[in-house]
Amino acid sequence: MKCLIAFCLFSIMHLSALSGSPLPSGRETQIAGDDITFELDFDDGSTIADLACGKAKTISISGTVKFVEGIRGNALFCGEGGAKLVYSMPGNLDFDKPGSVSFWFYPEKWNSRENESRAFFFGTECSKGFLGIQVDNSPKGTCPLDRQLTLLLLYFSEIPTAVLYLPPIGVAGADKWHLLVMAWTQDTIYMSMDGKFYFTGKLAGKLRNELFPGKTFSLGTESSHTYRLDEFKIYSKKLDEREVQKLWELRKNE
Amino acid sequence: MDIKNLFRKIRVSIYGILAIPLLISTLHGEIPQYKTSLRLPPMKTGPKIDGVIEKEEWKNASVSFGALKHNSSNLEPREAVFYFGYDEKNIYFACRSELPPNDMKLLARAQKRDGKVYMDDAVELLFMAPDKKYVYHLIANSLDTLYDVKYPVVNGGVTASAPEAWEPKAVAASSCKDGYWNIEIMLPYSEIGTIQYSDGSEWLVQMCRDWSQPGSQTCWNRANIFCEPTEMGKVIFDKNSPVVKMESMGKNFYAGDIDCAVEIYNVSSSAKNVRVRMDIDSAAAPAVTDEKKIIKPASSETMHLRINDKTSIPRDFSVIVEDAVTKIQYYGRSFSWEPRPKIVWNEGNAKYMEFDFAYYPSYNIAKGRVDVSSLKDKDSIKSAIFYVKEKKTGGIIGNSVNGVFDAGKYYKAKIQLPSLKDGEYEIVAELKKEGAAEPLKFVREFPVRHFPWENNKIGMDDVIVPPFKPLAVGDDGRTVKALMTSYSMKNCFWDKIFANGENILASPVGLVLNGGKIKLEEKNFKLLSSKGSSVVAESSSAGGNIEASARYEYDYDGMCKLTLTLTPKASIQMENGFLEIPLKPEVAKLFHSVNNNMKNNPAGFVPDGNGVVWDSRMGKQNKDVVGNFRPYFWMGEVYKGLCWFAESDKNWSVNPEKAALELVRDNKSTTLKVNLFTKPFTFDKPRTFVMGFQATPVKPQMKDWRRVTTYWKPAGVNNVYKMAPLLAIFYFGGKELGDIWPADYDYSMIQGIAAKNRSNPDLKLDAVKQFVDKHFADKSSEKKEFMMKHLKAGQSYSKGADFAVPYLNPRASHIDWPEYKVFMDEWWGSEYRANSADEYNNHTSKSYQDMFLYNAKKLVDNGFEGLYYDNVRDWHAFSDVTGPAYTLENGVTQPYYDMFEFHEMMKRTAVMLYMEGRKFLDDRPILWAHMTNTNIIPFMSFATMTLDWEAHYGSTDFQTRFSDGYILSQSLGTQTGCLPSVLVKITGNETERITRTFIATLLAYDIQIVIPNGGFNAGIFQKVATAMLKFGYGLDGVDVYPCWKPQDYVKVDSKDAKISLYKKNGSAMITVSDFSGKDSSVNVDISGLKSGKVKAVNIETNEVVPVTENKINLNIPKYDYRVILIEKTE
Repeated sequence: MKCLIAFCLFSIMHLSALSGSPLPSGRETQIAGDDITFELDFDDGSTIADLACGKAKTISISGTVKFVEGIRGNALFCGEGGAKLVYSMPGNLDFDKPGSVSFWFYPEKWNSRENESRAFFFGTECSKGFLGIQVDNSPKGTCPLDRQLTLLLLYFSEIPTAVLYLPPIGVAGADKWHLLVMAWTQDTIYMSMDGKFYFTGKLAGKLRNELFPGKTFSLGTESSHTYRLDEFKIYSKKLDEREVQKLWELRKNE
Repeated sequence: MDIKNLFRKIRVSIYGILAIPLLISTLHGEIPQYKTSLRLPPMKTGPKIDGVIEKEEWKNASVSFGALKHNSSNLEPREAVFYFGYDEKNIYFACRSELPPNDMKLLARAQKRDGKVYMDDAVELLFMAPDKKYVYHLIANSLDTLYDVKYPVVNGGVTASAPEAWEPKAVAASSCKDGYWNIEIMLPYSEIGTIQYSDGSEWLVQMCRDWSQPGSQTCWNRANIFCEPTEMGKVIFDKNSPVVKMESMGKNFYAGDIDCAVEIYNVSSSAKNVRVRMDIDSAAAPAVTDEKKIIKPASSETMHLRINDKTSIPRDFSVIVEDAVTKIQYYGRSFSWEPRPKIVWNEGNAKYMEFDFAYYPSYNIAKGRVDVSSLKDKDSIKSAIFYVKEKKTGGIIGNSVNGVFDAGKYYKAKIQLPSLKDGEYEIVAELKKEGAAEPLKFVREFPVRHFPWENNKIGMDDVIVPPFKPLAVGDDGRTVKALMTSYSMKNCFWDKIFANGENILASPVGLVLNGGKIKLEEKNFKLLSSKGSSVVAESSSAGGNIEASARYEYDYDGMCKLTLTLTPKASIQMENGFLEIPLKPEVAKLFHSVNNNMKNNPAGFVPDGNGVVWDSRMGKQNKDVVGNFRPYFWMGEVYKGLCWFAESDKNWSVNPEKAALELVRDNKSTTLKVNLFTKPFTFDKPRTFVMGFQATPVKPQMKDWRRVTTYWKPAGVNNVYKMAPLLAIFYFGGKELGDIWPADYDYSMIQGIAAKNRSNPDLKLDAVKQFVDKHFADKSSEKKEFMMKHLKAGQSYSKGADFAVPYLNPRASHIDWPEYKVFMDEWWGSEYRANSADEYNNHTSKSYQDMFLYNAKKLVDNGFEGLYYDNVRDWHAFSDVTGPAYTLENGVTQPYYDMFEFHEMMKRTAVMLYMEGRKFLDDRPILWAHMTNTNIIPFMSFATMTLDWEAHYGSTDFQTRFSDGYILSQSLGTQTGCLPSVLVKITGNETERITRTFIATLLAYDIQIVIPNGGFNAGIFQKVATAMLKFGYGLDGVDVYPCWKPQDYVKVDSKDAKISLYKKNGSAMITVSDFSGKDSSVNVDISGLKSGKVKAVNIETNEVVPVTENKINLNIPKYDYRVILIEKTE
């Protein structure tokens, strides 16, 4: 028994880094967790943002809120029979500083309905400043799987209309989750999909909050092509490629 | 609240670090230590919950200054004060903590109940109420949003990942004012099960402040797991107690102006005689106050311990307040603090590293990378020139190199240099912009020094380390025979692989390209060299416009490094391609794979069913690796198997969505598919793939291995061998964790515990004292005492030991090592210089091996019989100079695992020990490898002992900690021929019973060697082990049948009872372990022993157990065991 007392002196310690409090340690695995200004994961069956530096509740909802199986927990069902959610910009979405938006979407039955219009994901749908990410309106006669994804800037007083294209998700992308990330600095847009960096778009003007008089942003849609939307986040920093890659990789750990 | 979904969202980081000595995070000095506790009376009136911590309202509450960093006794440098009180209806908790400076704000984003409050700046209150049924957990942010759950208490502990919903009517209110966030919380007893106010009740409490920017989880009582009751402080409700308040350590205590003020408020109607002792300790100015004071009724007194010492050093503090007469403790706490860093909040953006570089002395390479993404006019850069120059002379060394533009933001260059002599050097990048007169210039300095260990040959002798035998080549010239395995080469791979005499392949190993449309046929085979220690051969094949060549390089442990090159003779559209390794299904029952996720690596039975039964996308992934590449996979059964490994997926064509590895079963085989091509590509240039194969078992387990014990030896039992692992450098005179040498390279303490001195019963105290005085002269008396204790303990543990081994970590480094300042880029493995070091995460490049073994050899030369290696696990590195890391299309670096380098590290260590004449019982060297959940065959082949089970620490029963498949696939040492050993740590309040569940598991699986790590009742274990050793367990003539080994001698009528049998002429010992999880009654049929009339005795109680018609009935409590000795009576 003498040995037993001695063991205490040099027992070996298990250092599970930050495994202590299981809840706050969620912070540790969040990419840029301190820089999130708005987050909505739908997992509790609610449209109230999980994190919000501004207002967390919707300003308005179009369509019917319906939750379906998400990439983790619930997702919002969008498109025909689904819903569009509108939130307040102040505090949550800030174009005066570099930032990023990320979300996951899962197309459903995108191999048909060739003549329907766009599938809207996210944007500021204001007639005096429209910035939106969507599946392109055209060409008609082409199913949305084969249509390009676009970032569209319209109606800005200081920025000429611009359309930036991502490739279509294609047949291989059907029935799968996809990660879209848009990041911005003043006059530059960075787009990536599924962890891959696609392009840097230079704008002929600078993004700033004043250009968005609507002061709202929308996510989802209540019409047209159906899809699931999940893990929507806005960041107060431009995510770099490594962080985008890690966002994509995190999915593997579920 | 949807708990299930909540925990799907929260990814608890459980990356573990295998082991470090406990002492790293204990207090710096040796002042009195007090358990965190407080005893306090009820508040007369509860405070108004309004976010304003009014002194008067909280005057009956206990106050504690300072929050401790996670799993540390050190204070978080950001200031926090905790308040705790209660009345007859409610519990009250408050926290005042400093606000971030300037325009920074607390993170306050969670606005809905049970939302992600933990992502914000938050406070936490956790407690186990007196009924000990649940731990309750409240979190609140500065918006007063609450998050709340509760954890069932099982065996005195909780499972942190399994909370239940709890929705108490708690109230929280915050305010931010005068530089502080104040939050008050009220929780009625009615929300805590059936708990009611009760004087004298004991609670376990944890109070926490979770900081952001940067993140830090801090708490009142030192804790690794906040919700673990055993890591909480104690709170006793006592109406007769005074209130103790320690609100401050002085306004500028971090600057050395320290004023520890403890206020004692006597709320009772009679005077209190109170003793207060406070200690502050440091290398500079120790101080203590120890006062007794009579405190009148309804009045308070404040005691101070003041010192003014501006020395910037760590300090320790402890305080106890107790009744001077009865010694009832009112308050106790101990902690340390270090000088406050200049920056404690993330003010503004993190410093941007715009010029990265690395220097590789062994390779004579320097590389640089300038990130220009922040330059507004980066398009105007016309050239980037990189060069290295000697700082003193300014002379450019070697050639300047033009940088290449990469990933839309980097200019990069790699510079080949001549060998550099000692000196200071600079790497320079010059970016020339259009129209600019001067280039943008970036400069980084680096030193070059040379060391006596460089390029040594230690452990590289061309010898065969026992028990291995020289490799032999069969008469066919194609079969290479290692000790217990052999390989028949064919068509760039193998058509047969033998393990323990059986061909375990169901069909030849081979490539399947474009769905099998391309068929390769062997064209040539040649044995290039054959000597006992290695065999080299090459083979070539062709088919479908592809030529394949393979180079086989065998080591004498049976490991084969295979370099395969595929060369297209014409452009080919490659749709897919994989390597198939088909094993016989009856062999491939178990599997184990790693990807730097120790403790989460899969290890167990191959899942049931046909088709793809497992793939590498399953389970926890290495987040630093793009895709799901895993560097290692083994499959087999307890006594035979085969592993495949590779350092990276370089030259594969990877769709990261598809599985890199798949395990496919059909009726004829269980096949590992290594998917080299999952993304279609045009195959128009050669691709080379480097991988390793090794069949198991690589060597037999040592004869008499079951006779080895750790730290103890039973009296009066012969042929037992005591091991003494000294699991920290301090036990043999080292100064810093990670060091491979004692203080100032004075080996006298090691010589003092060398074998020739171990029988001396007297500790060499004079020598110890002289050693400490000599090498720690500039340290505090407490540090000296600390070393004295450890050195004495080192001698004590070694006394009477047959074998003593020192703890070393073959992945350790220290930023202050002179050699590290030169070699860090080769050893740390980051893509560019990180200026980081730690005890666990280096990679073992050749120069690291040279340095490490040069120093490890000296430890051995001076008295140790072998070495203990922590951290024998897979680890990935990002350097494209030291290994096959490579850049993906998006500029991200795909790392590599140092599989071959670590194999070499282990081999060189074994060879060094062998050459130094350090032998175990059968002439093999002693190399003890801690490998919890990373039983990687090529790492362990040269090891002698493995150490497992540093996982699932806690209060749960051992039968629930590790599955049958886990233990069979990796814990037993049968594949590597190692002695199996395990770590044990038990928490909670049922340590004796849990110890028995541990022993029950050991007995079932025939594991004998144990390293205790807390909570383990060694007495119970030693009693059982002594009886077994006396019986002859592990000696010739005693056959051992663990639970997995078929035998017909003894049967039990329950599938949930596991039997082990030790059998010799005339007697047997039977162990029966319960795995049913409930009290059970089992019948053991011993008729197979054919022993005739016997007597059965429970060896723990010495009670005779009735034997009726060759059957023994045993009542075994849940997860317990029985050990029965059976002896003939006639």
